[in-house]
Amino acid sequence: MVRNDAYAGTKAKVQEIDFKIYQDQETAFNDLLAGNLDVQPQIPSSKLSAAKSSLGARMKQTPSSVIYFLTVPSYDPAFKKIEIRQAISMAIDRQQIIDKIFQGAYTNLKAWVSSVVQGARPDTCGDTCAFNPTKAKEMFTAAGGVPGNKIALYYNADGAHKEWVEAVCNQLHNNLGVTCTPSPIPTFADMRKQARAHTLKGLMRGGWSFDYPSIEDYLTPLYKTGASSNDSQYANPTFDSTLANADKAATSADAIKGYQDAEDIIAKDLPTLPMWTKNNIFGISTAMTHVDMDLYANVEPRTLEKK
Amino acid sequence: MFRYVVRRLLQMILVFFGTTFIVYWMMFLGSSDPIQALVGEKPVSESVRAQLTEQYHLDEPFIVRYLIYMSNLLRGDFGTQLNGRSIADILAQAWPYTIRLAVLAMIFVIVFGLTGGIIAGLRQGGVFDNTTLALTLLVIGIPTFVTGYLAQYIFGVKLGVSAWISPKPEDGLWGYVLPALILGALSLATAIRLTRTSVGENLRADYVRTAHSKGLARRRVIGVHLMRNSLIPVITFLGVEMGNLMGGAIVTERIFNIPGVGFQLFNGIRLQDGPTVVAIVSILVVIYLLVNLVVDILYAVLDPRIRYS
Repeated sequence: MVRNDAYAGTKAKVQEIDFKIYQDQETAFNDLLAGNLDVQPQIPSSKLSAAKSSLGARMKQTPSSVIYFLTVPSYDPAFKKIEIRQAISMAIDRQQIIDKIFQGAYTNLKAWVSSVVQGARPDTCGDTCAFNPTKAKEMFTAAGGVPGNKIALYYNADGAHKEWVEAVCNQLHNNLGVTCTPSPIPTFADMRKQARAHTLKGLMRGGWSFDYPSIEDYLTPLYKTGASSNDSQYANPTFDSTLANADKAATSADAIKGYQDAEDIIAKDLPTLPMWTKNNIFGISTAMTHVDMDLYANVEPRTLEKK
Repeated sequence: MFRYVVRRLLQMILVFFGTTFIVYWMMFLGSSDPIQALVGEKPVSESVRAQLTEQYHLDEPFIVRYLIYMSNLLRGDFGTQLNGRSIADILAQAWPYTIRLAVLAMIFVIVFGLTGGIIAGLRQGGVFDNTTLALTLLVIGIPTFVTGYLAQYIFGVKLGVSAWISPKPEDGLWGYVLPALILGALSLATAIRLTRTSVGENLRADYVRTAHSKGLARRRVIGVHLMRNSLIPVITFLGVEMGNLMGGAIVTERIFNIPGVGFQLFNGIRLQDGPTVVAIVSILVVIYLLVNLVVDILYAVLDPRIRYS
C-alpha cells in the first residue's frame, strides 16, 4: 500500500505499508523481535509473558470492542431456572483466569455491552458476576442442580480456547460439584453451524465485536427473538418491545436510555454470562514511533510513524 | 530395460487413478459445508449459495463430481477454488518454493549424510562414530516443530541471522539454508546411520578381503568395490525420502513462513477444498512414482548383477 501524495486531506506519514501474511503467529513474533516486522497487531497468547520481558514498552495495550461470554441455551430445560444460571456465573473466578492464563491481557466484564460504546455502564451484572463460591453452591443445590450433575462447555478447537475452558470447567467442578466436560468442536465454522441450529446441549463460548459503534449492536443481533446470532434462542417479548421503542426514540439520549433498559432485562434473564473483554495487545519494532489500533482491532494506517 | 520402464509407467497410471480417487473420496467424506467454510462465521445468502452449488456441482453425487473433476484434470484443467482463484496459478506460485526447499534439504542429506556415514562406518567405535551416533539419535528423537522453533529462535533472534526467521525473496537461497537443514534433519540422521551400518557390514565381507589380499589399493577397494554395494540400500532410502521431504515440508513451511505447497495443502484441508488437495496430492504422487522409477534404474547402474527384463 503506497501513500497518495496528491490526497487533499491529512496525508499519511509513512510512504509505504507492506502487509506480511504469516502462517504462524509465533514466527511473526520472532520476526518482530529480530526487527524484520514493524507491527504485530496481535501478540499470540503463548508469547504474552515473553513479550512483557523482551518488548517492554514496545508491547502496547489499547481497548477494543470485543467482549466474551458464555451462552446459556434457553432451549435446554436443564438451564431453565434462573438460579442455575446465576450459580454458574458466581462459581467462575474470572479474575483468576485472566491473571493466570491471559497474563492480565483481558479485562473482567460485568456487563453485556463493551465499555467503549456510549451508554455502557461498568457493572450491570452486579452480584451475579461477582465470584462467590459459597452462595453459588447453595443456590445450585437449592435449585436442584442439573440433570445427571453434568455440564458440557463447547468451544472451537481451532482457536486458543482450550486452556481457559478447562480452567472454567475446573472451577465449576470445584465450586458446584458438577462434572464439567470441555467439549471441543473441530472448527469455528462447524461450531457456528451447530450454534445456529441450536443443537448444542450445554454452555458454549461466545464472543462479539461490534459492527458499528453503538450499544444497540450488542443487543439486537444477540438477543432479539430470532436474530442471526441469538445462539441461546432467547425470546422475550418485553425485551423485543423495549428494543423496538428504543429504535424509534426521537433523541439519542432517549434511545440510549431505552437500550440500557433492554440490557437490564438481559441481566435478569441471563441468556449469556459475561466473561471478559479483550484488549488490543500489539507489539511494535524499535523503528516505529507511533502506532494506533482502533476499536475494531485494526491498525490505523494514517497515523503510523516510523523513524 | 525399455519394456521394464514401459511396464512401470503403465502401473503408474493405475496408482495415479487409485490415489486421486481415495483422496477425493476422503475429502468428500470430510467436508460438511465447504461454502460455509469459505465465508467463516458470516451467514451466506441463498442466491450465493445456489450459484456456488451450481457452478461447482456441489449437489451432485460423489461419483459424478469425481468424474467431472478427473475429466477436467486429464485435459490439463485443475479447476478453480471456491473463491474463484485458479488452482493451476496457485500451484505454479507455490511449487517453486517447496522444490527449492526440498532439493536443498536433499543436497544436505546426500552430502552430509553420505560423508558422515562413510567416515563413521570406516572407523566404527571411534570418536567420530560415537559422536554421530549420539547426535543422530537426538535428532531422530526430537520432532521437527521443536527443533524448528528452537533453531529459529537461537539463530534468527538470538544470533541475529534475520533471514532465518522467515526468508524474504531478497534473501535468496541463503534464507533457505536453516529451513532446509531442519526439514532434512531427520532424513540426514537416518542416512548417516544407514550408510554407517551398510559400510560396516560390507567392510567385513569376503569380497572386500579378497580385493585387499590381491593387492588392490585401499582407495580403490573402498571407493569402488565397497561403495557400490554399500550404497544400494541408501539409494532406496533417499528415493523414498525425496517424496517425503516434499510432503513433509508442511510443518517446516509453517514455522518459517514459506508460502509453498504445504501451506496451500493446509489451507485446502481447512477450507474443505477437495480439488486443491487432490491436485497437490496427485502431483506429489507423480513425483514419488517417478523418483522411485529413477531409483530402480539406478540399481542396475550400481549393481551389474541386477537386470530388468
